Amino acid sequence: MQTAIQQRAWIDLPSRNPGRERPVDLEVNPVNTPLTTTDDVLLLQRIARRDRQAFSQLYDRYSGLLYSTIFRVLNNTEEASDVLQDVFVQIWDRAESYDPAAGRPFSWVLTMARNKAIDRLRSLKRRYSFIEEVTHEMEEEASHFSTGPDEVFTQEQAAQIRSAVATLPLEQRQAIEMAFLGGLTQHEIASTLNQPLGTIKARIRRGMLKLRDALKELV
Amino acid sequence: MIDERREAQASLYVLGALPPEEVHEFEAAMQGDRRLQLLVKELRGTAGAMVAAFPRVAPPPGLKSRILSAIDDRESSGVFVAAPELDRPVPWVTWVPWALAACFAVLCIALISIGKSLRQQAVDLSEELGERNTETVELRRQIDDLEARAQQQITNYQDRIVQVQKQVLQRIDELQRQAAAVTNQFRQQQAETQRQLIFYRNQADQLQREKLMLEQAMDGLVPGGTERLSIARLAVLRPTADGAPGAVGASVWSPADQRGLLVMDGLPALPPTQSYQLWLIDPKLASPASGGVLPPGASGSVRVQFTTESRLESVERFAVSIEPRNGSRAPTGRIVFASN
Repeated sequence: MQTAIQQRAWIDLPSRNPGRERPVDLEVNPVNTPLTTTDDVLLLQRIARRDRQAFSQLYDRYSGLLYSTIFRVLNNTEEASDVLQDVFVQIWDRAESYDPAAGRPFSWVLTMARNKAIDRLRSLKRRYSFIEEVTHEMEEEASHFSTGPDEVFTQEQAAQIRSAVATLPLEQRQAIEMAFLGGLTQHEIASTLNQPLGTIKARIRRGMLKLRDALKELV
Repeated sequence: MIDERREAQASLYVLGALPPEEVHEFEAAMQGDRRLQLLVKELRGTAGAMVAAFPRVAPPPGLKSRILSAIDDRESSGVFVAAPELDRPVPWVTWVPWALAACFAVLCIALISIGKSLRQQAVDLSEELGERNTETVELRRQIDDLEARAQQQITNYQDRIVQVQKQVLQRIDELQRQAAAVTNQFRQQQAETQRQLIFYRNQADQLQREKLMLEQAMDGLVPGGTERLSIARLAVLRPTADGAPGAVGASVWSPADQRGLLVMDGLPALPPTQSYQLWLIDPKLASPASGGVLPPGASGSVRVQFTTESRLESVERFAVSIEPRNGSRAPTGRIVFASN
């Protein structure tokens, strides 16, 4: 059965979803001078010492990507704003618990944001809402991928990531997104897509390893 | 080397899709495995990078100031999780019970988690065992099926071999019978041929003798000229059923001269009371005309000239009968020689 879920695109088009809320896109800034991971670690350490300026700087770096992610889960600006606020408050409260050995600062914060978004999604008793659009050429939506001046990824890196993601087969992208943004377990994904559990595991494994290999320099 | 199962678990783990009961088991496995830890770290970074592929949506403009206000409020109200607790000295008597309770709670949670994980593993293993059993039954059924088919094939081939052997034996028997029949037929034909050969040889001998008799009979007419020969009646006398089989004779009768010649060969001897008497048969006469009695005791090769009492114009046949010693007026005894 060809469902909207199966037709869903990794990258959607706001212009083709008139009923959907869409905030203003970020301004284009082609010249980026991003901070490094080490800088992010230092920012978190400063935040742990109650450094408001470091907190503001971290917000500028992460808020775009985090908000985009949360919005993609909840598909609602107010809910996404609330969740993003909760995330940053939690960063303020828990910055000292960050362990560099567990991964990059952004991964740590993103996990926090993703979990909170999914918790909110569940508390609203809604399911992850998939967009009923089919995949469109990324070039058409280049403006949606513009990065801010101090963001985590440069424009070149973001383009590299989009290119890597675009090479994944649709069923792999679909399974990964349902897990990561839908908060569905492997069993729920298998049930939703009406596929054997082993197939779903294999799709997610292959997709993630392929992305890992393609983005080795960035991760 | 990390196996595919662990790779799948790591992928699901960083995406938050690994079931809770597997999370504990996976985290325990990760503890002592640096490669697995590195893989999880890389995959976590991958998931983090992935969000750069989403369409970018900017947070509302006033959100940052709202968040900054929120943390300012928290700072002013003293809501802070870590630092105040750590800085305040606490007597050991107050935190020891709490620590024990926390340890107990952690222990309970760990035991519950382990129990849950073990139950899940047992369920998984049971399901796997069930699947393996089903596969085993299916394989057993397939093996039985193949064995039955093989047995059926063997039986078919054995039946076929027996059938072919039977057919071969039947064919051999039939060929032997045919060979015996052909041999028998050949022998019969050979015997028949031999018999015919003997017959034809005898016949040739007979004809040779008849030819000789005829030549001798004809010799008696030659002095009269060839014109006499053209009107003479010449005939071969062969033994009848009552005659001697090996005997043969010939007779010639000249109407012009009213006399004839009889030659015989292989004539058996007769008792003294009997004699051979020659008879000439003219259709114009009511009864055969006597050609005279052969000399008494005549046997073997005989050559006699004869004549008749009455004139004969058209003699057609000759015959010899056994009569009393001095002859008869008409045939009374057995006809032993006759011409055609």
